[in-house]
Amino acid sequence: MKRVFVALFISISLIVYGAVFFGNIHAHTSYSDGRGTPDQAFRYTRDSGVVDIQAITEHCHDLVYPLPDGSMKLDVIRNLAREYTQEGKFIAISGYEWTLTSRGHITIYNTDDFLDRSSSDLLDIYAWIVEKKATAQFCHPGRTYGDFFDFLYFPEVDLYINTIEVGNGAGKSNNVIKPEYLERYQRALNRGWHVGASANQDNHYENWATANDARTVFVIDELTTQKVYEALKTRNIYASEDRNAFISFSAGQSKMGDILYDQPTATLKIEYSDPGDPVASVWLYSNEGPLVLDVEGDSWTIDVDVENPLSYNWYFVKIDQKDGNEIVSSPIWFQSSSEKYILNARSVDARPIFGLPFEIAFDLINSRKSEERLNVTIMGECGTVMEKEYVLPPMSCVEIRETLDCTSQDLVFCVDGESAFRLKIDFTKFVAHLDTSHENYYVSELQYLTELLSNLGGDVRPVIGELTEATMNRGQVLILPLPDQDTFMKDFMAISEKQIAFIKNYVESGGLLIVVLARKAIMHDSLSTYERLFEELSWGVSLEDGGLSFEGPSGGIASGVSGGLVLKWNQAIGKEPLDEEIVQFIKSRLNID
Amino acid sequence: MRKTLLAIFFIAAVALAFAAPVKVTMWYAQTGIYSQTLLDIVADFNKLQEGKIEVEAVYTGSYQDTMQKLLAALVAGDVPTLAQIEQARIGQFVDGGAFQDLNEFIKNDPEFAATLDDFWPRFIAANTYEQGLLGFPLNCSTPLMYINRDLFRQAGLDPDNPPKTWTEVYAASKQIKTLGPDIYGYRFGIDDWLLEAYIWQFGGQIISEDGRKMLIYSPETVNAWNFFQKGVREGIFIFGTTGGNELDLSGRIAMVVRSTGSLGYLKQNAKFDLGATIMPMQEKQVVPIGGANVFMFSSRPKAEKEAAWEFLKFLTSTENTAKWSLATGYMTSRISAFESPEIQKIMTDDPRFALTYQQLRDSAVRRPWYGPYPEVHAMITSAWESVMSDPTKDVDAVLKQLHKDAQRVLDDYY
Repeated sequence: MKRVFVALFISISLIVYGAVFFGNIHAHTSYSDGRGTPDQAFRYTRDSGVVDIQAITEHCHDLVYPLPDGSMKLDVIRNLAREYTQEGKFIAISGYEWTLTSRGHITIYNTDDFLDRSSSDLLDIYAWIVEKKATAQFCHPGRTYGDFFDFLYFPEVDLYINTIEVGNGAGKSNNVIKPEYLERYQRALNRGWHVGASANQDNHYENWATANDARTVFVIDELTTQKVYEALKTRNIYASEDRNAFISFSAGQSKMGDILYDQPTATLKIEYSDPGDPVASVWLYSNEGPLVLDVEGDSWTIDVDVENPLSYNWYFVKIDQKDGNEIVSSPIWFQSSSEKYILNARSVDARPIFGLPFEIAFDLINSRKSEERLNVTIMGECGTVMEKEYVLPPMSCVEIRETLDCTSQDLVFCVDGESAFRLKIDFTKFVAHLDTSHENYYVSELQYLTELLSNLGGDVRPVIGELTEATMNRGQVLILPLPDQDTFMKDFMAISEKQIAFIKNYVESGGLLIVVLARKAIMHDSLSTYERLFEELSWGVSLEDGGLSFEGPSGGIASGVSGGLVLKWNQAIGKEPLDEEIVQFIKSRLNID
Repeated sequence: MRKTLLAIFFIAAVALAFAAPVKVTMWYAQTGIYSQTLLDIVADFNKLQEGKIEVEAVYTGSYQDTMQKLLAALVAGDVPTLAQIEQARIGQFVDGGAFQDLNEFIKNDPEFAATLDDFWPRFIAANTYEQGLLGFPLNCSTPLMYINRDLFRQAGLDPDNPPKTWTEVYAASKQIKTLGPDIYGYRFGIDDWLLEAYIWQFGGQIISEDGRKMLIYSPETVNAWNFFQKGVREGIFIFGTTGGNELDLSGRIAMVVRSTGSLGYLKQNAKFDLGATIMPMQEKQVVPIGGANVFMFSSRPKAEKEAAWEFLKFLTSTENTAKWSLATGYMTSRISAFESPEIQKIMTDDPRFALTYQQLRDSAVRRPWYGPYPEVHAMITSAWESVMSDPTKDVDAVLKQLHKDAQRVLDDYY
């Protein structure tokens, strides 16, 4: 855990506030799938007085169709934006929304051209944004519309996509900042994106900016087109569900949205003022998790001392007001000027097996404009686990996969000697696969057996889909329950000859097979395939009473290197006690003391 | 006397000469490319009929919203001239005698009558009720099964030989599931017409021919629902009430059944090798005709209805139904449009577009339409959702209760 020193300095008055301006930078009209026209929308928002900045961002695929008079929609919107903009009073912005659901939606501002989704994929629009040096925003990231290939990182694109919606919605409720968006915001930051937080209404009706109190707040000292665009680029914005809350988040002379280099420690300053709207809770989020701050009231300042132990660290503030509205700041980043980073390190198997080699993956990032050598070392409790040099092209992010052979739980990834990432490995002692693919879906029924194996330090994983050799070989135990006599899909009860062959092979190579006998007598031909399996295994087991019982080795224990275990249904579900002998057998086969 | 008559005629003629064009209002329920194409056709018509007829097309929200608004308008007495209404949502209008029998126009329009057999017979049958021919097909479709051919290949399955039965869908899904935890064999939700299809395909029925008796609780329907629930429970199918489109495009779904009208959209947006095939069967090969038809309200003034008739003919003309089909991917209403070189070229270039016509000829039937059906359907959907979102729920018990509750709704209505 990062060390954070909270130096409480709460003052009720004498806070000098900067200016802020309110905007709504995602909205539609009938030029795509909304109502009204851009002309109406700009006029309406300007006259409503609730925002200072309004963008119209139609869907790309609707811009393809010209207007009845033959003019192109985007040209008209651009002209209208110019017409409605009154420096110092109201800034109208033209934009469009690249809308490829499943990849994600991106609003792109102030370009004279657009790219249609039907002729492009995510990487094409990224290339287009870079080519146009545009200003762009990730919209409503998540399950419904897409999360940009899990925010796969491209350093060059990162220069132009500068904001992300943590709030989106035009419902009556102000609740537009959703946990899903907030989670994706952190995911984007953790993958390397430098994006600030916005909240927009994404209006599709004639209620542009007035549907609710959601706002993207611009921290700029005067309302000019240039400053608005600069703020979008420098992420000097915050997302608010409150129509007039003021917050400031700074570090020395730097403000939210800034990237600071080579500062191992820093003092973060948070200021809040919204007379009559006190806070319920205040959180400082960072790449190492959220921290609650102890403040209250409707006007305060707090200083927080932080240490930045890694080459890439970020912080943002989330304020929950007592009336339920939320405010989320853009981040401040503390990074190494080496511009070489490791992010997103993880174990490929969430729970690798202790003592066996396991695969890890991480994103190696070269944000420099030249080809670079990156020396990566991974340190564990017992010393250096891996050391390797990689050559990365300029401005690139590459996923690296390596196999580690160590038992260290805490790994530190370093680039050129700098700590870059910390990873905790959650080892399991062994993996047991529970077959469910032969009309034997007994995941909840076999809870007792599952818990027994879990208590021995194992991880029980149901086999989803076909039972294959590859699945089985990734574990040490295979639990094979006989099929359910009552299934209405009897064609799927049998095990195939191919499966019999690889199960035999698995057992002979040291895998532990546990067969669970039938819950109800099996009157179906498929039972003979299980008899075939026992024949092949030479355990001396023969099934009786339709698979309810068996003739064979005492206690169901087929000893020897190619042995295994047969459990009666009632034993597997805990209705009949398991002999200590059986538990000992499992332990000895898995080398557990 | 004679003089007076002349004078009246004169006044009438002057009034006609300076009269505003007859206004026809059409409510519609689609957005995007669909509304765009409809509005284009409306604009063409208005240009041709300038000064005589003016059609105003008004977007009234989803199918459900449009139905609700029409029901309210019916009560208030201000229905539009025409409306696009989804097939399963017309019962109360039909029962209430709200729709105009179009045969009345057809019999006075021999030129048009001569071309009536150019409409797909199953579409005309689907619009024929006791009161006559009440609607014209607009955006009709049948469901197709779309497949991600890349996933099929990766799982060692032959994408050119996709599953033909639900059992085969299940078997293929098991294979596909081995590709990874985030990958699913089949994706489904709560689309009402597909719920009907599943039940029919497993040999079950929903409601009796006369609309008065529930037939949903049967071993066949129990099997159908158990089948889909089993796929979800075992993690090889994925069920969700939202986010389906995103999943379909994500490349993580091997099979999904959607309208043939989605073909164009999926072709444009799916970034994988997209295949399509006819909807799987089990006990029976049957698919519902989905989409919507256009209906005229009988209570509007005669002149307005006559003007609307002109528009209906224009909208469903060979040229316009071909244009509509080309732009949206929905089926043509007329055989001549289907046989037009433009549409035939599509089939030649991409045989996937022909599948829906194959289904239309072979196995398409009208969806239930009875007055209380929207309410019954809402109950079916909610029961379906409850057993699919909680796959430990007892399908048999849920269906039994549903049957009872829905029968009560029918009894109350009639």
